[in-house]
Amino acid sequence: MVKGEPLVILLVEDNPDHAELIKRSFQDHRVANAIYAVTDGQAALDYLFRQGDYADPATSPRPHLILLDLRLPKVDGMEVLKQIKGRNDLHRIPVVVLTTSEAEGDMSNAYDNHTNSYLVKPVDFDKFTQLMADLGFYWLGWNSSPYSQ
Amino acid sequence: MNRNPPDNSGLTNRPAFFGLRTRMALSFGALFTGMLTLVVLATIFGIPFTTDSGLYDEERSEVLKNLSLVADLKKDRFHLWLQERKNDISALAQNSNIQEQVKHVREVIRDEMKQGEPNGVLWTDLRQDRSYRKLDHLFRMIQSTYKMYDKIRVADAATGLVFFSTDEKDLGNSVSDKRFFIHARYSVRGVSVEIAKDPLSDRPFLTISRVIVNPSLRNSTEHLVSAVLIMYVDPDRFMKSMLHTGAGLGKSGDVVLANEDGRILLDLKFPLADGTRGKVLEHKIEAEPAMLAARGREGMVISRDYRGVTVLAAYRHIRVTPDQGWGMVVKVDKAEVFAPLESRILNALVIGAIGLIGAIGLAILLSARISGPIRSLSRTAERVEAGNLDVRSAVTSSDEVGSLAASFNSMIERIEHSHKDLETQVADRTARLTALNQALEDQNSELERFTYTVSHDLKSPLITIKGFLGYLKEDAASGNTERLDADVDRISDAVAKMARLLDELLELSRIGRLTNPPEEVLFEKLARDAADTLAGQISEHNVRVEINDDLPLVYGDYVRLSEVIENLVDNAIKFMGDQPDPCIQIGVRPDDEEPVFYVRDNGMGIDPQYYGKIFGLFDKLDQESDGTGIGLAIVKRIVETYGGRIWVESEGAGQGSVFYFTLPEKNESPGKET
Repeated sequence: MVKGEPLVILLVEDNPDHAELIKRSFQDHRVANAIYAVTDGQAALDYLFRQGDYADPATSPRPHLILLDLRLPKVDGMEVLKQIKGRNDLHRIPVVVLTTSEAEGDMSNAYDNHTNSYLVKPVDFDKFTQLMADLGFYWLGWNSSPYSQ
Repeated sequence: MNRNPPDNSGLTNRPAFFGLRTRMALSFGALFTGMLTLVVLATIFGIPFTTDSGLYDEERSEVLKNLSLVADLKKDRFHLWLQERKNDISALAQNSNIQEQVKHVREVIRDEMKQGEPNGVLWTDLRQDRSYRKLDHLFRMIQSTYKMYDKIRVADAATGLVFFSTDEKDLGNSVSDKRFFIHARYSVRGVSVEIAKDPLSDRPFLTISRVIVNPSLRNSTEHLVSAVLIMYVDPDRFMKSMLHTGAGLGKSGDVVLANEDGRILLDLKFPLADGTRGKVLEHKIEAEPAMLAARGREGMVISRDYRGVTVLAAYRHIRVTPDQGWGMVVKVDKAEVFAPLESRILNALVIGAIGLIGAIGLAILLSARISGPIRSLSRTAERVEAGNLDVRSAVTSSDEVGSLAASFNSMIERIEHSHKDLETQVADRTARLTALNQALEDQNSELERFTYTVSHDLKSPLITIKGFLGYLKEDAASGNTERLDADVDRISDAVAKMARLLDELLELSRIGRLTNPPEEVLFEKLARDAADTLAGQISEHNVRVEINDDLPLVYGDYVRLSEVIENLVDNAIKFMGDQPDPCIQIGVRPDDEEPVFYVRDNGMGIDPQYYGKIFGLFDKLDQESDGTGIGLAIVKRIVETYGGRIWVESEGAGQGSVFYFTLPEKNESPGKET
């Protein structure tokens, strides 16, 4: 982590309530400087590929972490994951799958598509906020990434 | 099925050394060959124990008969000829004039002899004698007339002195020791016939001699016989040509003449076995026919001749004089006689061989004709055994084989039919099983998907509720009321969403189970009822609903069918977007084989890439909309339960969309939910 550089999280979450909960948790624990949220798979890809509404790089800074829900409108989360990990300029960005699904198939698929982590949203409020805090500290604090993404 | 064949290995499993056709061909060939051989043999050698004699016997008896005839002919001719000669000499010897002249000449010589030993002068003088000259004239006339006699002599009966001869050199010679003289001298009336040899020329000749009586002493017994008349015939010139010329005897035809001692009387036609020539009166022939003939026997025989060659011979006895006989053998080489027979046998064999080839050909043809259908049947049976039931045996005849082939064909046909029946049944059941299996699998995966989505979609609002409740608690503790109302709204919405979700899930689970009895329903009524039900939403969004006339009857559960229309209309209203003149049209597409119904709107439209996704459970394209993502899944499920299809078409985003679906005709009952 380089001081002075804003830490950017891309949050891909179709449920606005969940997105709100995640954002609040991060803010409460001062995890990130900037959270960019999109609500469907296509928007996530547009952001990352800098196309459509996100053609201007100023609106779509490279994230240091991607939080990805699996069940998304338009383009499925698994497809988004596949595309990220298939691109040379994106595949080093840590992708954490954050979903309600505990299905065995979803987990295997996610790991097969090189997810960096797979997290199930806890129903319990305390556990939820704790997970968000730990997630932020781990990926943006403890975890090291190469300088050039 | 018990496929073990019955135990007949001793018959069927032993490999045949030859095929049926070969065996039949061999059998027929052997049969034809045997019969042909018998016929040829019977032709040549005759049939045993019957009167039918074959070519061989016929030829032999023909030759022997021929030989016999020739022999008889020769014998008769010779006898005749000899008789003529005997008559000649008798006529001369009994001629009184000759008797007188002989007497006179004898007297002249007797007178001269009294004066001394005869000498050349005597014979010279004698020739001048009138009687001698008369005799000479007479005998020469005989010679020239008959052209038969080489010379004619007269010898004194008492002394054997030759006192007359047509050959003057003979005068004065004595013939007293010659057989022809002695035989003639002592056989007063008889004629002696002898073959003798000229000591000077070594040539054989035939003599015929007879006594001449003294006419003056006719009444006295003393000196009755005055002289012996001897006539010489060259046998080469007469007998031999007569005897050897054998009509119909062929090249090897031969006549052998032998006296009682077995000595040959004529030159032999062929050299002896050692290559030398047998000399007349010296060579003693020992061949059987000649011996038999000389001893007075007559007959026919197949034997060896003087050369040692096997001949067919007829032997005859020729009685030359009462006390003297000759043997005559007329013979021909067996080889020559049988040469034509051999060529005939050869011909017969050639014809036989040609016949044999024909017979074998016929045998092959016949066996092919007979075995062909059987072999074809056998091949067909093999192919059927190998599993090919399409083959049939050709039925080429109406005999037992033909009827066997026909029965066999009908047998295969029945097997084939039962096979096909069985196959059809198996295929039928397999198809049903597969369909069942597929249905089970579909249901299973749908159930899995259902569980999955339910757990996800029901968990989501729970997280929301719990999360914001947590913040409410924190805010309440800290006295922060800033976001209180908003958070309570979020919780309330989430609860409402959960309630609706549960309702719709219940609804979805009922589709298959709660089916009212199908009935005829006017599609127009369905459409109007749906519009009435949704009247609140329709008027709220200011939507114009157009329902076409002339809509057909559909067949099914009224409640379920109306759910289809309601959901589609509801969906259209939700995604109308910011269309200023919202319009929904319900109708049936013309010009289709089956009625294709549609619900058309002029709302947001759908990107083609999402055509499949929208019908999935909980799949929503727009997160902002307040649907649960179950509505279209319910529509799809109902349509498919009735065996229909549903799909969506859209010109693209902002161009509106059309949902098409088909429903069964009246007489098609809905697929039973399993």
